[in-house]
Amino acid sequence: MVPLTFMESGSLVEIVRFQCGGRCCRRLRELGVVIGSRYKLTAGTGRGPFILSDGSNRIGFGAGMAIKIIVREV
Amino acid sequence: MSKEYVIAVAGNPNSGKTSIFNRLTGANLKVGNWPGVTVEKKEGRVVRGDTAFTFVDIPGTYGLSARSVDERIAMDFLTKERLHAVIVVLDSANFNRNFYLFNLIMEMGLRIIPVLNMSDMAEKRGITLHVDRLSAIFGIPFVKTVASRGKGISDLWNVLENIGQLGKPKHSLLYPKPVEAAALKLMGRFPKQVTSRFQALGVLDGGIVIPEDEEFRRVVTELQGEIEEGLDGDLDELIAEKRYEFVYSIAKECVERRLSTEQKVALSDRIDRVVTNRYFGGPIFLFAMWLLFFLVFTVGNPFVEWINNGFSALSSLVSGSGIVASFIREGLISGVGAVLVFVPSIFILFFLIAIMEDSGYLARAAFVADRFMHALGLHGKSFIPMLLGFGCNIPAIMAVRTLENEKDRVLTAMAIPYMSCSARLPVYLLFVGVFFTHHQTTVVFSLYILGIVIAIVVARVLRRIFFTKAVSPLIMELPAYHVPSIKTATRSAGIRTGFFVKKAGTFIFGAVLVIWMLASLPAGVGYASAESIIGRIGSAMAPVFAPAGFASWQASVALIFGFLAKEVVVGTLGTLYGGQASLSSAIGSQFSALSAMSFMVMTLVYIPCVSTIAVIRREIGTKWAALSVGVSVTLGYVLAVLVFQAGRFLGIG
Repeated sequence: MVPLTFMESGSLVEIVRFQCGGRCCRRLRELGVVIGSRYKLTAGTGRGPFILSDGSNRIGFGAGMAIKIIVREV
Repeated sequence: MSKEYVIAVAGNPNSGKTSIFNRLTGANLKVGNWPGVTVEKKEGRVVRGDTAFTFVDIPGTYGLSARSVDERIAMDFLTKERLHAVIVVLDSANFNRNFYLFNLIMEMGLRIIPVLNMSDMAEKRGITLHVDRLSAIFGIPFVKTVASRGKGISDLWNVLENIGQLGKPKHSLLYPKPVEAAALKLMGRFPKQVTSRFQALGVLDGGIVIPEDEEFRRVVTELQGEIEEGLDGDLDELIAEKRYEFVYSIAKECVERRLSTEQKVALSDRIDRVVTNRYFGGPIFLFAMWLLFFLVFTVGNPFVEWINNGFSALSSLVSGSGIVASFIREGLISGVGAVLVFVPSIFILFFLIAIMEDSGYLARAAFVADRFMHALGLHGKSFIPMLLGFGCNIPAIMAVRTLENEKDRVLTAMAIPYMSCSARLPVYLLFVGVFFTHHQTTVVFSLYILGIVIAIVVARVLRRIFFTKAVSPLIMELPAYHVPSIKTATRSAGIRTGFFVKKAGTFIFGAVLVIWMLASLPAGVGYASAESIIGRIGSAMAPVFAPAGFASWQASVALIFGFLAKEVVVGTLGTLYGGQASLSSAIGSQFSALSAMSFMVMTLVYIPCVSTIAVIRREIGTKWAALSVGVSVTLGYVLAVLVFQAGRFLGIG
C-alpha cells in the first residue's frame, strides 16, 4: 500500500484509504473516487499531474493530492 | 395559458445538462444573473398546447452544500423556489457519481424527471442501464437520451406533457434511527416543508451553514454529539457512507458492466497519455494556442477587409460639411466602425474557445498548466478562468467562483486583467496590420504570451505579500473527449459576439460621441486639431508618454478613453484621424514599428476597463480593485517605456 505518487503510469490500482480531512474526502467521494474503487493510472509519475480513469470516469489530481491517496496495485 | 410549470434542469458538470436544456428551449433563451451574484442564469419559456414550461438551468454541481458558490446557488434555488419538477441529467457512463446528486435531489422531496443522457457512450463502453428496473424501483419514468444528436428528446417531452400525473419517487434512502430522529427534530425550523428533511440532514452533516442563531447552533451541536457518541466515527462520514451504499445498491441492480481488466483502452485515455505527457503536454498546448490565433487571422482577415471596404463606401456616401455629416462620418463610421470591423475576428475567437471547451481539451490545458502554475503559486484550475479571459475579462472573473478557495479566487481575479481580452484584439489588429504585415500572428501571439507571463508574475508577487499558506491541491474531473458540436459553439460565440456588438452600439457609441464633441469644440477650431478641447487635454498628457515613444496627443487621448473599454482606443483613433485620408496611413506616419509595439504593450497592461474593475470590486472587494488599478497603471507605463527605450538602445526603430 503506497501513495498514488509512487505508482507507475499504466498500473491498475485500488483505492485503500485517504489521508486527508473530511472536506477533501467529501470532494473525492462526490467525484466518485471512493474506497474500494479501481482505476487505471493513465498518466502521471513523480510530480504529477495524475489521471485516474476507469474508462468512463476520469479524475485528475495534482501531486499534493495524489500523495494523500493510498492505493494498492491490483 | 391554462397551466404554468417551472422546471429546474440540474446535473453534474459534463453530463450534457446544457445540451438537454438547449434542446428543450431552442431559441427561447433569456440570459440573466442569479440574484445577488454574477453567475449566469439561463431561462427558457416554451409553450406547448395550453401549457407553458419555464426551464431554469441551474449550475452544474457534483453535490449540494454551501461550500462553493455554484453549489450554494443550486441548493438555494431548489430549496426556496416553487418548482413543479427537477429534470436531473445523468451521464449514463458515470452512473454512480451522477446518481449521487440524483439521490440528494430526491432527498429534497422534489418531483424528479431523471434523464439518462449520453446513453450511446455508455453502451459503447459496455455499460447497460436497465431503465425498466430503475423506473420500477422509483415509480417514475427514466428517459434515455443522446442530447447531442437530439435522440430521446420527444420521450422527454412526453413525460413533461403528462407532468400532472408524475408522482414523487417512491423508494428512498433511510438513515439509521438516531439520525432520522435528529433530522425530525430540526425539520420544523425550515419554512419550506418538502425540503426540510434535506436541510435538517445538511445542518447535521455540515453541508449547510446553520443560520445565525445561538440556540439553533447549540441544539445542532448537542444532537451531533448524541449521535456520534453511539457511533465510531463522524456523523458526516456516516451520512456520506449511507448515501454511497444506497447509490451502489441501486447500481448493482440496474447497471450491468461488461468489463474486463483487459478492456480496450478508451480513446480518451490514449489521447490523455499524449496531451498530458510531461514532455509533450506543454508544447502541444502552446501549439494549440498558436493555431487558435493563426485561425483568427487567416479566417477572419478577409471578412474584416470586406466590412472595412463597406464602411469606406458608406463614408464616401455621406457628403457635405454640415455638423450632422461630420458626426456621421468622423464619429459614427470612423469611430464605431473602427471597432465593428473586428466582429468576424472576435466571433472566430469565441467560436474556437467554445470548441476547445466543448471538446474536453480545456480541462486538460488546466491540467497541463498545473505543475507550472503550482510552481508559480497559482492553482491549476485557475488556468481555465484565465483562458476564458482571452474572450472577455468580465466572465472570466466571474468564473473564479468555481474555485473553492478564497485566496485562489482573489489571486486569479487579480491575474485575469492581464489576459489579453477580445477588446484588445482590435488594437493589435490595427497596429500589426500597419507595421508587422508579415509577422501578424507572431506579434499578436507574443503579446498574448506576455499577458500570461505578467498575470502569473503579479499573482506570484501578491501571494508572497498577502498569503502565506500553501497552494491548495488540485482535484478535477476530466470529461471524455468528444467531437465538439459546431451548433453549440456557434450559439455560444453568437451570444458573446452579440454582447460585443451591443457594447459597440451603446457604450462605445457614447464614448465616441463625447470624443467627437470634444474634438469639434470650441466652435471654430479645425476638427480634431491640437486647438480643440480634446487636443489640449491630449497635449497636456502627451509629455508623460514621450519616454514610451508615443507622444502624439491623439495617442494620449486614446489611452485615456480606453479606460472605458479597450476597443475605444481604436474608436478614438478612428474618430480623431478619420478626417485624414484613413486611419492606417495616419498611424503609419504617427508611430514607428517600435512605438507601435510599446503602445500595444501599454494597451494590454495599463488598466482593466471600467466594467472589469466593477466586477473585481463586486467579486473580491474594493481594496483589491483599487490595488489592481494601481498595479496595472504602474506596470503598463513602466513596461511601455522599457520596451521603447530598450528597443532604441538596441537600434530598432
